[in-house]
Amino acid sequence: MPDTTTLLEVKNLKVHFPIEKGILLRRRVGWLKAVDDISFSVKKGEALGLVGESGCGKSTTAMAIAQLQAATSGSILFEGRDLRALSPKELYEARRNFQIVFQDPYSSLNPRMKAADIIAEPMRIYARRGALDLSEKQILEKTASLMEKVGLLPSFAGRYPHEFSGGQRQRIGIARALALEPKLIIADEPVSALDVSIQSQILNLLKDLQDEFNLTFLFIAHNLAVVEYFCSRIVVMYLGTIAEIAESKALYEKPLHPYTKALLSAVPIPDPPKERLRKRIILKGDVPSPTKERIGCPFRERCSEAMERCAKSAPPLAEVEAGHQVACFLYE
Amino acid sequence: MAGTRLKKNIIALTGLGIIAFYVAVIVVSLFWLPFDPVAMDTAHLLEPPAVASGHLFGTDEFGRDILSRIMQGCSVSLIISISATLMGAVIGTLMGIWAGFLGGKWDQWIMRVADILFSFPSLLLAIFIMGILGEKTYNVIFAIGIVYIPQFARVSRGAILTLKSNEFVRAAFSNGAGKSYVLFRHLLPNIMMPLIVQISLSLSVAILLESALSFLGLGIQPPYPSWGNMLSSARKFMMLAPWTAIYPGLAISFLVLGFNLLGDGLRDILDPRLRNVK
Amino acid sequence: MKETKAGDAPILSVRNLRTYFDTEYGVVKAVDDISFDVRKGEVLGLVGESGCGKSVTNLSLLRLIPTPPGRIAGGQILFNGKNLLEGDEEDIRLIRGANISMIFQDPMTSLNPLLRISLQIAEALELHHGLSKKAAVAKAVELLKAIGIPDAESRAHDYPHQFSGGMRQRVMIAMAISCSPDILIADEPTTALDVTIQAQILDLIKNLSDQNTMSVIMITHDLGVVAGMCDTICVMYAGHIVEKAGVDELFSDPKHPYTRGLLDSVPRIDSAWRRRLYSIPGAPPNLVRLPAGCPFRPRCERAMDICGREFPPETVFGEAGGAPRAVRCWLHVRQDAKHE
Repeated sequence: MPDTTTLLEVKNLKVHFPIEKGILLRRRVGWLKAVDDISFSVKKGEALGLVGESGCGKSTTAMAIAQLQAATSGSILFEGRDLRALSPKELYEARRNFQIVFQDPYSSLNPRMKAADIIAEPMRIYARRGALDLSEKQILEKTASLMEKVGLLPSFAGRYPHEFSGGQRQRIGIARALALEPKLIIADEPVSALDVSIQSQILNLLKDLQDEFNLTFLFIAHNLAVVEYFCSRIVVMYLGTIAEIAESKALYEKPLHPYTKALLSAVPIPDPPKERLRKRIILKGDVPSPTKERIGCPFRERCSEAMERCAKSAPPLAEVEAGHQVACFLYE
Repeated sequence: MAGTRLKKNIIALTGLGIIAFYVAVIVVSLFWLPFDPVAMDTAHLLEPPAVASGHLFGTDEFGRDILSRIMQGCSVSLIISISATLMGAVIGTLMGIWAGFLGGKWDQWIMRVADILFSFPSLLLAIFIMGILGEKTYNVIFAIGIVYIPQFARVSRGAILTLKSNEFVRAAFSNGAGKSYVLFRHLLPNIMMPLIVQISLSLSVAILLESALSFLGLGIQPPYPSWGNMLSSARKFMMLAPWTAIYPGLAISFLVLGFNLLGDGLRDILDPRLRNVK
Repeated sequence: MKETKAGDAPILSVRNLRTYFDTEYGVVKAVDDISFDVRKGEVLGLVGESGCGKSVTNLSLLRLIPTPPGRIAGGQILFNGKNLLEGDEEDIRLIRGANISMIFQDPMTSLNPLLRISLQIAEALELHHGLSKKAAVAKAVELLKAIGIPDAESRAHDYPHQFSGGMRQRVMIAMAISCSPDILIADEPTTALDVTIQAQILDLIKNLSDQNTMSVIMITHDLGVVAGMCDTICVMYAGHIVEKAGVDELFSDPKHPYTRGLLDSVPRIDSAWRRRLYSIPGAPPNLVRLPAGCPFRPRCERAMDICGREFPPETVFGEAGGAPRAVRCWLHVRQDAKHE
């Protein structure tokens, strides 16, 4: 049972990239608003999904939370402390509490390091600086136990990444993320690069680990079905803003935002009779460029239910029912 | 397909074989030389190669045995070339990896320095540096080393740029690693291979540069032999006594060939191996 | 469901196709004795994961396999009765783009970045229909309009990088259908696209297939896409077709353990939260070191002794409603049934 303490709170997060022109003297001609004022929270023990299509800003959000990408403004409160306000030393201390599982099993492991060394590295880094009280022997024991937990044979410890399959590499990455016993795991598209039959293995592994270690997940993905399976609550993003937040089942059964409705209707369901009966909401055109200056709701150009006021100001994210928030003037 | 790998191996192995031969010559020359390389023998000036006289490669205009001079010159040439290349490699790589890793202003300024060096033709730059530093032998090492800095800076910077985007770099940062740690423990080992190839190929040109410099009278001074100054003095006698030029020339050519083959073979072995590995 | 009569002769008939690759690690049997038919106007799905041979099958149909290291080691590909594997490069070139067209997964690398779109589409028209450049470009603009590119007249003269991913895929489709082919081969056409764009593109392909009675061979690993688009499905594993069925049959009554496993291990948005997903144990096989017997045996929960010794024959069930029904599995081998 997840307790209701908030582990992570994101407040008015903005990540804007300057667009510069010029060779000698670079002038700023505009901003790429990858993340434009979003706020949400993650409760301890839950799995929160961040979902959206390309350009929605979900990956940038994850990297900003993980302090691997500088945010332009806003606060990222982890257990009440703003990560952006920490000194380098304090940040280093804090990092062990949130670790990352990356998307690409081929580039997320150093090809010249053995599997066991990859998993042990975080512990060694912290032990060397005196922040972790483990001897080398204890580190090796912990590594072996982690490998077992993620389903890797101990004999694989001395192998190099290229000797493993995609799924196994992802397991190594997961073991590495668990090495420092973090409270929060940021999973950035952890199964997108894997074969279909391996995806469910890894998803189930993550679920089991979540139960065993009482982990909290921030799960980023573009595959809505995967997110619905893994996460209890989902944040739908569009063009750097949040369109809707709801529990998984509620999102599917009662989507409120026109974008969410279109997204859900576009996801194919492996059920031929059902597919034949579905009415697809086909959106007009493409996702607009995040560099264009925008006034009003970012979705209005493609929205079939856009009203006049949608062009004048952007709708705020508001709670419409318990646990269900949406940013749309249709629900005011 | 196993055939292609072996073929590429043969190239590298041949190169390695040639280099090994020269190294053997150096080792031997430390203990034994057929004749004293600087001993003049006025009775046997410009003698053609003959087994009977013991001068297998003939003698030069001072009666000195060419084979012995070539053997001694070998140590000089190789030591200077290797030291110079390594110096250039170390400095150039350090510059390149920091430039590639840090990006932005650092990248621009570091590479600007490298580009300035790069814009001079190698030989002219080396001569210029020798002019500033003086004609001592060890300055040849500095001169050639400096000439090589931009090459290594570019190769290592390019390699770092492609590697930087790999997720294991971000993973290391999220695990608490600092910038230097990531650079030296994660990135540098992964660019070793292209660097080794570059070193091997650079060595061949270094040998040529060293020969050119001593040909011009910079570097090793007579009577001590270096392949370059041997060629220089042989110019006057090429028509009369071609062996005075041929043998030093061949010595240079084969060593350069050896390094080139090794470098090419290594480059071929390493590339497809990395691609097939998935 | 398409109205094709069971008696219609297929326009494409693949028989016992084998495509092998000679690598330094051994012979990779990427496609090992597969047979299937495509009828006029039918949408056939080739489903499987990486390494199953679906893409290699595609490329083999148009003889686009790089030789070396690949080679077509046997079989026939009958297009309207004629074997495409006989005949030389000239013969197959006449077919490519004109009768059988292909679109690929990555629209970014499939288009020449240095040529305007109009010229790239016009190219096929000039080659196969002998149109003049002017006429070909005009037809290209029409095609772009027909497939839904806004401002087709001006956009036709843009370069690929000025289009978004979805638009580029539409351009690819325009190129592919410009000569009104009988068969369109779509190799994972929407895998690299966002899901809302994917819906648009799949819709487009389906409409084109209906309007022009064009057959489509759709390669994908997404079972949802298959459920919505295809009439018939071939499930591939390790270079073999392990199951063939009409789309409704495959999803309601999967016979091969792999098919069943796949269906149970894929999350669905309408029921994701209801139960724990099944996982097929193990990993897709290494094609160089395939085990003896059935290639799926190491991962099969219903494997029997014979599965590890002998390769299973194909069991053909009666053809209900025009769609083939077959499975390659020892569990379904009966004394009385037909085998191949």
